Amino acid sequence: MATSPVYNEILNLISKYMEKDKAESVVNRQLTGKSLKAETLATKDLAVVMNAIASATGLYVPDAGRREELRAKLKAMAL
Amino acid sequence: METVQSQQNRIRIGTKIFLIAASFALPIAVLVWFMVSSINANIEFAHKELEGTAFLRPLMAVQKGIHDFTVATQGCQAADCGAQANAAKAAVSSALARLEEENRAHGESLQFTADGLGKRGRAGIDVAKLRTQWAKIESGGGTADDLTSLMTNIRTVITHAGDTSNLMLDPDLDSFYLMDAILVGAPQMQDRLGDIYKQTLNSTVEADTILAVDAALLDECDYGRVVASSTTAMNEDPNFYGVSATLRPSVTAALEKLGVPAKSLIGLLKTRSKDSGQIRALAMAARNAELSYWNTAVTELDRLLEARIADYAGQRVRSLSVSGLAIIAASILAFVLMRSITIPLEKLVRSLGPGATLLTGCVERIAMVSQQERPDPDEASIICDELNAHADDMRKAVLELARQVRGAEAESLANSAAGSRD
Repeated sequence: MATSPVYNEILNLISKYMEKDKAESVVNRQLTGKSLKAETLATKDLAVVMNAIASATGLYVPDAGRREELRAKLKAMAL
Repeated sequence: METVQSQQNRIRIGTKIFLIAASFALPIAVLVWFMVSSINANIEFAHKELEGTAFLRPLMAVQKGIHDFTVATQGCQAADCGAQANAAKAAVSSALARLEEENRAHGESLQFTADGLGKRGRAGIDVAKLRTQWAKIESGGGTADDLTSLMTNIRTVITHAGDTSNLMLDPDLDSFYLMDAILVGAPQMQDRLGDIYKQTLNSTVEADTILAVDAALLDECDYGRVVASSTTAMNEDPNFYGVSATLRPSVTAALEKLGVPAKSLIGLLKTRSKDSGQIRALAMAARNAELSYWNTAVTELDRLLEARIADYAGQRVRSLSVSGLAIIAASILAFVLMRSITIPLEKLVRSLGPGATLLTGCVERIAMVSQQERPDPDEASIICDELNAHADDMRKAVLELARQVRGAEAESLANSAAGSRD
């Protein structure tokens, strides 16, 4: 089943900061933790999961500046 | 200065594996080169034999023409002896011109040089010498001894061409025996028939004895040898590069044509016949049939040599094609094996890189969380989950790497380790 556009948008954004495979597994873990699915992820779900995604992906970005930039962009998506 | 080891360390593992494969391919390439060189040498060997037969063709015509000239000028009782002599002269001159042409093309290769002839005790006996001797005889200034000397020198040139063209070293039984008939039996028979002709001109007791001896030699050493060698060549033909479609029919027909006058002549001489006219007529007929046989046999020898060259050329193409395919197959195999080694290594590299970042990030975040009055429980859970997940990824990558390094043994070790963890 195809993944949702929102999920793809998040993944595309995170892939700019870390390897795509790794980004995918990190995001999927956070979705599972919140009982969400990549195929059905919608904008309304982002408020629930975006904090966890930002925290988890931030662990893999060594540069503090870029880490903050990613976090800010993710949060902006959730708004 | 950079050490060799540090330079080696900079080479990618894929490149190293490729270099290992190439280092094994190098001796194979050398062996292929030697094999092709050996095939080329065999082809070159047969080409030289062809040069020899090309050289012998006009030489045999010269020999026959000089015999005809001898017949027309020594004791000729026919009405047209002058015309016969002129025809023989024209035939010899024409054959000598062709011989000179062949000498220009192949003389150097067949070692008709001062050095090549000198080393074999044949100094000065070359085509130019034959031409000079013939010019003296043709102009009417030659003696019977000059003719004999010319005939002897022609036999020497035949022998030299046979030796240096590799014909004497022919490696296949069919072409070897045909060469024996062409190079040894037939020229010898041609000379013997000329000698028999000359002996009939003398009605002495000595000449009768010589004729009796010549009859025995013609039977056993000349005609007998030509027939025996030709028969062996035909019998051996199927064993070398397939059966020649033309060898047996054409050589058998030529032998039959030669057999009629040759056997009659031998029979007549053995009866000590005094009918010199009939002996001369049979000797002439046998010489003509013998030259016809020679031309047929030499054409067949060329065909056998061409078949050998074609077989070797095919062998060379097959060897190169199979070697090329083997190298392509080996390269594909080496590439697949190389990827099976480098892919797990790349995975490990991909795991270890973010792993270091993850650990640093986790330590920083744990420190931050521990300083907060009300730590976020989700944050600790995320850190633990990510550490666990990454540890799993690393374990998988290490196991894959261990599989590559240790094979099945690594899997059983991993299973037992997993069992003890559980």
